[in-house]
Amino acid sequence: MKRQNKIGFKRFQQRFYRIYKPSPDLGKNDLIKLFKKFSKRADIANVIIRFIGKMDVNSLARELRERSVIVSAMDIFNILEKLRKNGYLYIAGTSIPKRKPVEENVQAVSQVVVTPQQPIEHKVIEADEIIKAPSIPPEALDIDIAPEIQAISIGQIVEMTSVIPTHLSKIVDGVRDAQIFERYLEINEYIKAIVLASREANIVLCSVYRDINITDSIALALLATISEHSESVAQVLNLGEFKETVVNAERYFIMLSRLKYDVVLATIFEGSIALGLMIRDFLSLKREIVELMS
Amino acid sequence: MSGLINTVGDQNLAYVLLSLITEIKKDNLCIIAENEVQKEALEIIVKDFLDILSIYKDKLKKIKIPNILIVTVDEYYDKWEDYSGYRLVFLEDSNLKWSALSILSKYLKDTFKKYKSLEFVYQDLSNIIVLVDSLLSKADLDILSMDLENKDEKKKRENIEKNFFSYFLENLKNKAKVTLATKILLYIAEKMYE
Repeated sequence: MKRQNKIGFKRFQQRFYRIYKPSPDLGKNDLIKLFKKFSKRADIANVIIRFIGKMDVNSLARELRERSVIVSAMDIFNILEKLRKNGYLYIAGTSIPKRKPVEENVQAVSQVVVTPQQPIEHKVIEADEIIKAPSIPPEALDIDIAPEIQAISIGQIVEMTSVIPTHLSKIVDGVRDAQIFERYLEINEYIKAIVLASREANIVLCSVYRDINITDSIALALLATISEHSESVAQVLNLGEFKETVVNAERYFIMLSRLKYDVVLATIFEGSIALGLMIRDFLSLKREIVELMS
Repeated sequence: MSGLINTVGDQNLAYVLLSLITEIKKDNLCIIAENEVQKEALEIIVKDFLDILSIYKDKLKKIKIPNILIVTVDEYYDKWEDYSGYRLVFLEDSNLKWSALSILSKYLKDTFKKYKSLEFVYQDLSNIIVLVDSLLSKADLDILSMDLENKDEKKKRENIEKNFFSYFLENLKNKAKVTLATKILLYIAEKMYE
């Protein structure tokens, strides 16, 4: 089952490295017409047909963005797949993923939760100089000691274990294996941080930061605050279900969305980004994570 | 043999064979089967074809047959990065709107129905490859790959294509095979000069 999940995530990752080629029967004009029909955008069509067969999905999206066409890799993938399903394109190969070093701060630890079923593991440190405290046998004190409580003497170490709820660990694995955050960082230089957090477990599931002084604990606090207030406002004013919030500050934008399982996705963008580009990329990122969750 | 064909599907098989013989740029080709049963069937079929083609391999100057790997879809995605650089052949792409594919698929189906064997198909494809290779070696065919706007150049290209058609007809006799050979030649010429 775990292997199947892993393969699923890799399949998800691979799609953005695909190189599509058109059917040999299609001329340039045929391709332009088809791309216009399936994308409903002439600006995309004219650029794509110059590079189709030579660039992968990521590179096509990047090329278009360099020409001020606001589009995400997911948009390009969807268009190309539609054409493929209709028999106009085929997958010829894939490019080799580039591994860029990214300042990644991934926190996957919560506090220890010790239940009666989980015995505390401990090591006894013995050293010549340590004076062991005398242990008083329970019978001497005539005390009933519950089975889950064990006497702890000096020098014993309680091991801390990290816990992510199972249904969320699958999402974390998917985001990492598919390298979703890394891809968006690569394609959009305005992104300063991406954070995926669980409100239920009160932990950050995955995060990446680039040239910004924010820690996971700060991110968690701000996500909780913004999402709670946004939900309250939506409720009080009867706006319907809260979906996204945009915070516009002097130097940065924050876009935040609530997902399934009380998971929150937030992205911090540099303030100079075009609004259309920011919204498109954030919604595209959100769609990918939602797809992983389903 | 009919079990193998049914397992793979004649359209899928046509796509595999056509991809194999027209891939001139990549050294390695990876065929991605839906499951283990389909993978095994393809291994047998592709091996049979390559055994026949190997007789003519030394005659080929321009066309080269790539190294072939067949994997299941799970095997592929598990290590997909290792196959970057390969020409990938997904059987899902056999619905490609390519006239050469339609011709080969129909020819494959009809031949198997008549002779209950694909050996004739393998032999015919091998002959086509040798003839195409011979033309590619003798003539400068970059005109076939160009987007022509000049009327005279278009006329020149039409004449060249007519000559090829006559050449193939003389050697292959059958119109469907001739059309297939012409389409394969045009496709490979375009790839060579792009």
